[in-house]
Order: sequence, then structure tokens, then C-alpha cells
Amino acid sequence: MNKQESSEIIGQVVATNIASFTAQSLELEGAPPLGSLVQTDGPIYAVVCDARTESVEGRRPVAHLSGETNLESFLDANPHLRHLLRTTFEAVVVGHGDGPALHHYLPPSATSIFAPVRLCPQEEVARFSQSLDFLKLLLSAADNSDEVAAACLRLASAAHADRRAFLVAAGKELARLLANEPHRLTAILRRIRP
Amino acid sequence: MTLDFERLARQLDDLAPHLRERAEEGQARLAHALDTFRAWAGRPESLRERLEAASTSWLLAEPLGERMDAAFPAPPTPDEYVALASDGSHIDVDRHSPISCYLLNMGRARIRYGNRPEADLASQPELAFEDERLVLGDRSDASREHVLSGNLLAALRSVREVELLAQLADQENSGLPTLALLDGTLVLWGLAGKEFRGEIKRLLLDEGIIAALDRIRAVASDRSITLGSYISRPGGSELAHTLRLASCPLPQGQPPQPIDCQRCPREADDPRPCDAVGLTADRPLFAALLAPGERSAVFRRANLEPTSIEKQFYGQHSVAFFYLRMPDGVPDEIARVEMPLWIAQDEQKVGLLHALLVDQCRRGLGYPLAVMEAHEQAVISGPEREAFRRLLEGQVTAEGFSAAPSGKALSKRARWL
Repeated sequence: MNKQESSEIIGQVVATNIASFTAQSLELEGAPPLGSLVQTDGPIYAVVCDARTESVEGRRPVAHLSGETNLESFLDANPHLRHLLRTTFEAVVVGHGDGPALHHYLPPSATSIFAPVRLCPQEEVARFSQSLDFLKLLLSAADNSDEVAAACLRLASAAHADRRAFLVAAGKELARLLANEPHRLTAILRRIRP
Repeated sequence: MTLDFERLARQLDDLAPHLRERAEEGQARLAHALDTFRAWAGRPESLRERLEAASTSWLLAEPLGERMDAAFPAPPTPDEYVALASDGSHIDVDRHSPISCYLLNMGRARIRYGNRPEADLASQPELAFEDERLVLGDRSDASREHVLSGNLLAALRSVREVELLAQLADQENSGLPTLALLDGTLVLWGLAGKEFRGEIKRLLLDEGIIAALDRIRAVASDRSITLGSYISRPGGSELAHTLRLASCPLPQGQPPQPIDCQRCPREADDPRPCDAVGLTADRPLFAALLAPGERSAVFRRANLEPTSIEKQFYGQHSVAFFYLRMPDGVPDEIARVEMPLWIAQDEQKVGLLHALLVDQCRRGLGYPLAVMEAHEQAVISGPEREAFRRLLEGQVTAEGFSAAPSGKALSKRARWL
């Protein structure tokens, strides 16, 4: 069993297209942090760009202040709510695997509906982010792509032995991609400053 | 626009004065009714004799043992308990549809509170299209058959609800105090006006609701399980009618006569003597008697027709009931809680029913939360009904049969404009 298979399943794909997918988190409010690298069958690699918790059946949650001060005790006092709420997260596809090779561009087909989604372990994050080609896909994807890219780089830097060197290389790649957009570039650089 | 709002508005203008007049009259009647209620509360035996001797079409009730004007605060809620509920919805047989069938969707809720909180909410559809499931026959008369639709289907749905609740109660092995809840009345009203024989009797009564209630009773005999059926804004008026009989002048006459509503001592066009205490429902009586969270005395129906479904079939499951005022903190309402006689005669089970219902209504903001969730599981939305219709038509055409709907149904889907 390789390391990818051994990492824990955190969600399941419920809507899918070539460039992104939505997954339902197994745990309520259990979405991985913004910018996390996740992988699904294929393997297809993606970066978490949004998360939301809402009613399962389109019922609108109504606030009722009660004695409970945190979500866990609130849900324990109202056990039915765990069945009526769900957390989903969205991820931008940034690459895929093909045998031993990693490609930092879109896969030939979308990931399967109901495919399990795993959080990439640190070694996998380090391996995938050795090439920074995926930044182009990330920057052109979501509405808040600058925030997602910055969050992704901060998290990925922790997987590299020389964190500073990784961030400097990433900064150079960003400078190349955003040569015509100095304001965006500055904003992202500020967010990943070592 | 097909509803002429201009003409409607003119009619609505008359509503406000009518409402005011009725409210004033209602206050006077309520005061009279309360006086009569309290005056008779200490004489249950004389009341019973009066009701038993009466010849009337009113539905009546008598207290089961407690003083009828009593009010009881809820016992403390146990720290840990389980709430079970079942509810159903259905799509009726549609004669405009290409095939005859009905769909029942049964929702259930099991919610455990306390140290190990958990919940199970689910639904189960049941589609019936075979002749033997669509038509109820009668072996003693080959020409008698009833299509299971309309009120009969509603009755079958009620039976399924009790069966599902019996199954949930049977599976409940937490050992915790358990509240088993239904929505609506315990009596199969859908059978009103039907003859209780043949398959109707077998399927809906003997092997239906009665068998399911027997099963719950057996489970509850050695476990801390209580059972109730909850009615929000109830229209029940047995006690309002009982007060009419209590205030009837006939027995006071010389010589005293038993009450007979066909010989009501009133002149033509005059109000009936009992109209002075005449309330349209029991609710206002208990709104005046109960404080938040309190229940009324337990009552049972009195002087039932020997041909009534309850008298003929229910036996130990005959319906008893109390009224319940919502606790503080949720919208005020008087609810009615029906239960079989064997629950009503068990002080502990009545107490548990009261305590757990108050907690459920608090959690459900004025309606028992478990029933609400079972209902949410069961309900079939408009788009789902439409999707079901399409699925059905798709299945019929896929087999090469004609899925042509009736001309009338078609006209609603394909109009000129």
C-alpha cells in the first residue's frame, strides 16, 4: 500500500467537472483548510477553494440562541441536526497522475461522481509542489483565486525541508505569471512572506 | 385573473364586524361554560349518569378518574430519553394517470438525548399497483369492493404509521424512557361512513391498527415506553358538548326526564337552552384552566354509539385524551394528546408522556420535534410528485404501453395560451 492510499478519506465527490469538483465532507464542518491539496481517484489533484455548511433539504436554518456555547455541545443537545446539515467543499483541479508521472495540467476527464476524496499527506504535497506549474491553473480558477493560491503556498511550504527556498521559488513563478498585474502580485506576495 | 378580488373585497368587509360580535358572545359563553365545568367537577357520578341516559348525537367525554377541572404540572424531564415518531404522506390513485397506483411514503425519526446523543431520520416509499392491493373486496358479497383511494387510503396510511411506530418501539433497546409519537387522532376517521366488514375490517382494523397497537402494548408492558398522538390546534369538542348536556334543563323539569336532543325544549327560531354554554371546541375551556406546561385531567369518550368504530374494535385501545398547554418560551397553544386507554390507566406512563412531550415541544418551538422531523422525512414535495409522474410514464412507455393521460389531464399541460 502506498502513502496515498493510506491517507484517510475526508469526503466524497457530489458534483464534478473537468476543472473542479464539489465534495461532501464526511464530518459536519470537517472540510479541509482553504488551500489544502486533496486527491481523488485517477489520481486527480485539486486545491480546496471554498467550503460551506448548509441544510441538506434546502430547509433554511433559523438561529435559536440557547445555553450551548460551542457547536459540539449544541449538536449534542439537538442530535437530529447532524442529519439535516452537511458541509461541502469545492476544489480546483490542478493536476493529475499518470502512472509514476505527475502532470500539472487538467486531466483528460473529470473525476467520477461519488469518488472518495483524501487529504494529501505531507510527502505527497512536497512531491506535487516540486513543480510550480499548477499555479497557473490556480490563479485563473476561483473568484478568490489570489487568496486560494496564497493559502495553498503557505500550506505547501510546510511540506518542504527548506521552507524559505520554496516560497522564494514560488514568488519568482508568481512574478512571471502576474508580470502584467503588479497589484495582484504584491497582494499575494504579502500573504506568503516567509 | 379568475378570482375577482374586487367583489371578494366587498364580502371581506363584513368579516370584521362579524368577528367582533362573535368574540363578545364567545366571552360570555366561555364564562358560563367555565362555571358549569367547575360546578360539575365535584359530581362525576351524576355527570356520568346524565351522559349515559342521554339520547344525543353529540360526541361526549367524561373524566377517567381525576377531577375534570384539575391541572397538573409536568413531572421533571429525565436526563436521558429517546423520542420515536412516524408519519406518512401519499400520492393518491389518479384516474387521469395512465396506470392506477398509489404511493405511500413513510417517514420515521428516532432521536436519543443525553449522554450518547444520536438520531436516525429516514423515509421508505411503498408503491402499490397490483389489483389485490388497490381494491378491497368482501368474501361474503362478491359485488362489494372498494378502491383504496381517498379516505380509505388515508386510513391505510394511518395504519402504516402505527405499524412503523410499533416496529420502532420493538427495536428500541436503549433501556431509556421512550416516547412513541404519532400525529393526529388515533381513531381511523377515514373509515367513517364505511361498513366495517370484509377486507376493510381485516386489513385496516383486525390485522391493521389494532394488531399494531397490540404490539406496542406488548412492548410497553415491560419497558418504560409511553405512547401518544399529538394534535396541534385541535378541533375536539367532546367536553364542550358535555357541558351542553350538563346545563340541559330537561332533567330538572317536573317530572325529570332524561336528555333527548330530539325533544329539545325550545321554541321555533329560539336558541337552544344549552347555547348559553355552547363552545365550538374544548380549547378555550383549557386555555382558561391550564398554566404553561400543564396538562388537563385525562378524559375518555362517553356514551359512544354501539356501531362506532371505537366501540366495536378498539377495546383496551379506546381513545383517552388530555389537553396540554405549551410551556413558557414557545408560542402559546392548547394541544390535544390522545392515547389508548391502557396508557391512560397507567399513572407513570401518563406522567412520562406529559414530561417528554413538554420537552419535545420546547425543542420543536411549539410542536413535538420528533413528529416534525418524521413529517419532514415523509412529505412529498410538488417537484417530487411531478418527478414521480414522469418516472411512471417513462416506465409505462419503456414497456411499449400507451402512457396517454386523460384528455382533461392533457388539457392542463398543453393549453393554447
